[in-house]
Amino acid sequence: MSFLTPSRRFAAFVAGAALLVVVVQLTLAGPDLLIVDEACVYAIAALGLNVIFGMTGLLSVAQAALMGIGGYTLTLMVARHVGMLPALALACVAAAAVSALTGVIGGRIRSHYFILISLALAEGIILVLVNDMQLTGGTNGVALAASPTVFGLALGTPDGFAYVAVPLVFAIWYLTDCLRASRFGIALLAISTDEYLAAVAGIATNRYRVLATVVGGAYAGFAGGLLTIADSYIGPQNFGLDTGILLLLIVVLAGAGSNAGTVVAALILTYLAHGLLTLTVVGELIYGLAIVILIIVAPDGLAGLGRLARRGARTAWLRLTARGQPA
Amino acid sequence: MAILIQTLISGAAAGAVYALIALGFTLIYKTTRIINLAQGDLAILGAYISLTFVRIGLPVPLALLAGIICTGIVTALLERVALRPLYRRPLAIPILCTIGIAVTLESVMQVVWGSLPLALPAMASSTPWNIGGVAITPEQVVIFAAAIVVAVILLVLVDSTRLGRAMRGTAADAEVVSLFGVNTDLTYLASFAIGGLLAGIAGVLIVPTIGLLPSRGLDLSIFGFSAAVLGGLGSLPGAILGGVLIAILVNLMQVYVSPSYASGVTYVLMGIVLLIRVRGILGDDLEAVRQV
Amino acid sequence: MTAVALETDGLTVRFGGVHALEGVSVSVPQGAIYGLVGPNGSGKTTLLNAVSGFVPATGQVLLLGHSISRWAPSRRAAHGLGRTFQTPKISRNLSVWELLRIGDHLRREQPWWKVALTPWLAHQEELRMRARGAAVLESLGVSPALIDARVLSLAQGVIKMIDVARAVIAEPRVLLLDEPTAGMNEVEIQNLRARLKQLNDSGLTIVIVEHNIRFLVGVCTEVSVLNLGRKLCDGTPDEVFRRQDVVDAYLGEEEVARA
Repeated sequence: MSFLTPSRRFAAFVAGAALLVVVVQLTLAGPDLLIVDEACVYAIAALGLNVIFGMTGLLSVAQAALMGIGGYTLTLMVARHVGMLPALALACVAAAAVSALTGVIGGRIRSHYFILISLALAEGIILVLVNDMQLTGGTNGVALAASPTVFGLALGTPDGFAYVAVPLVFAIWYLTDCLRASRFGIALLAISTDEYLAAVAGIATNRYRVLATVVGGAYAGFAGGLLTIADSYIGPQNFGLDTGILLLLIVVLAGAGSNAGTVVAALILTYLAHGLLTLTVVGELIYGLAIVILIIVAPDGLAGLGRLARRGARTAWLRLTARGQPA
Repeated sequence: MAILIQTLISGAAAGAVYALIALGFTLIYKTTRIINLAQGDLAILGAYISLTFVRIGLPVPLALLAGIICTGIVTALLERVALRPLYRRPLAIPILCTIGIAVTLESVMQVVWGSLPLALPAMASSTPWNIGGVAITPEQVVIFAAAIVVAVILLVLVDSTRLGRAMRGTAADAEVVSLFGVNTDLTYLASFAIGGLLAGIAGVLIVPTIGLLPSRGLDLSIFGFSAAVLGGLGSLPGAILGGVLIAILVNLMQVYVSPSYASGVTYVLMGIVLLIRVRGILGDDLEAVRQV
Repeated sequence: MTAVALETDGLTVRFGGVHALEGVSVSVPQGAIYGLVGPNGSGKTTLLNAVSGFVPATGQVLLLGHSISRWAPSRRAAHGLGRTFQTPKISRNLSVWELLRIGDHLRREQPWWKVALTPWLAHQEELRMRARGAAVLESLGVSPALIDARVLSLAQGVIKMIDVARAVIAEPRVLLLDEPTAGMNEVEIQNLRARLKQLNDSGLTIVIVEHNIRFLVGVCTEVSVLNLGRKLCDGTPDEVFRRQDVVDAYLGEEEVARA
């Protein structure tokens, strides 16, 4: 088995988080820090989509819209004098509940047609967010009513946010890895491989599909809430199909349901979305082409690259250590 | 009362076009089990290509025809290049690919033709006749008639030709069908090509009314899917019925309830149909229904 | 009077106008190796699918005395009904280990919070599961060294045996095998015959749907013949394959004569 036993993995996650927080705070400032903050938010949402699509095989474009549900729930709760942390928890619950709706409705149809429900949900949510002036402020958006401080730490500033966001990404990444290695993850793997196979293994397909949408939705709500905290503002522009498709692209680039790939892909794509692809039209074109080309040519994405690299490193290591041995 | 009839009539014309979108979409689904999320964008592409032919001097009817044929060719090419490599993979993958294709098409259209609304000449005039207090335009009549004729031709084709029968069979079991000497690859290609033609026809018919913009593609797609789901996934007559029903319902919502939420009817309807009766009104196709 | 492990009573399956199965009643005693034969289109796989719960059917299905006719397939599996597939449908690039873990899903505890909070304990459990998986592979004549190989990269006959391992690791009470020898060479078929006898000796009731009559004759205690959706007859292989109506129904008359 691999070099990293579970205890070493846990230690690696903690060390990695700490290291990255330090690196980020020391080396980055201003706009770069904003990009890292945004990448963290999208990484969390993308990890949720990885549970729904990468692990369970349910194609969804609604993850961004669910982020919106989380963000607006947070905003509305804060406006009613609910504390920041409870509001964030409620954001998760709200998004998870709405996401579960798709799971329940999708209970009657095969997994690969889930896209229809998710499309309807995504567009429906945006329709409400954009039009309901009373509740959501329509296209103008709403400012966060209270200052986003948690335990005295001001999260509204880029570096304050980074202190919290980076460890959160690592924590959620670790959690998702544990989900995948658990009985739950195996059930999802079975369902995404073949529904009949899952059935004869005693896996109640529908229950696990709904659970997967709940978990993925909760991640989206959390990410949406975090985004609102970071910006101290929420507007419907961030939660449409464009972002939904960007999140899909992240999971596709990650490849093969890989969590590590998802985090790295989120960082890469957020950076690209800000840097090279500032022209929205060309950006959309590249997203579309990227999805098509990646699926056909590199279905294992970054995870596949990682596997090749590890194999290459292992072969090199073996060769190096064998050199001292007698022939 | 007059308003009601007016709403029903304008719904019928739009509905006939949604029916064409739903037909193309359902034909592809029936044959290949793939949900073509680019259907609406292909329709708009057809309209743009027709406009280009008009601009270079072709008489309008020929330009429209050329645009429709080009759309069919583009769709066939897309199937060959982007979808054929994916048939052995889990079904969610080609469907995801059509999302990528839809996004690519929309941005290509924006790059080539710009994001300002353009105008495609209509096939008939839009000055309304007044019949008993209700206004009907010749254009609406032409749209409705053309769409119905195309739909009927398609239904006859699928019912009676070898290709049509092959299309009905491949979705059920590609392996069994290929044993009967049916070329599955060719059948898939044909279904996409015809789906593309249907999209092109729908596009040139509806664009004079709704305006020519890249973003219209998504709107059309969603109407098309809702129509197909309502009418019954996998049922061609159902697609037609669904198209007309959806258009009428949306129009009724617009006039009597709320204009901004009118399109929301399609989403709610899709959710309700999938929850209560997956096979829709006329569908008997069990493929989409979960067996386990 | 031996107990009945699996029983169907008047099982009928109709697709649109097609009568795939008409009033089929079969009784599999506990501890038997039961064969289901018939020419193409006789409905034997449909019978298996109806018992598994994959197709809607009228009539009764009883597992170990309980009526499971209204149960979902996963519930039937949870009560001891195991099953393999004619063509193992593996659309993802699974490893043998992952497939075995899927098969083992019912029996194993590995909740996510245990993995997250006590990773060392979870690791111990995983090592135990791997050891058991390797043992099951070995008991079926498959090399345990293949445990990390990608299933789809292996030979067809090996994949079929691994599918059997996947079904067996869940310790079912009744195992349904759907055309297990299809795609196997002679050596693998001999291996399968021996392993099935071993499994049967340890108490597993086995039902085999097969084309390969010679295989069934060597291993089954009882056989049912289906034709055009109805049961033609049942009995021991010797009795059944001597009957004229069975020979007539079967296209491969020479096969029957040779067996």
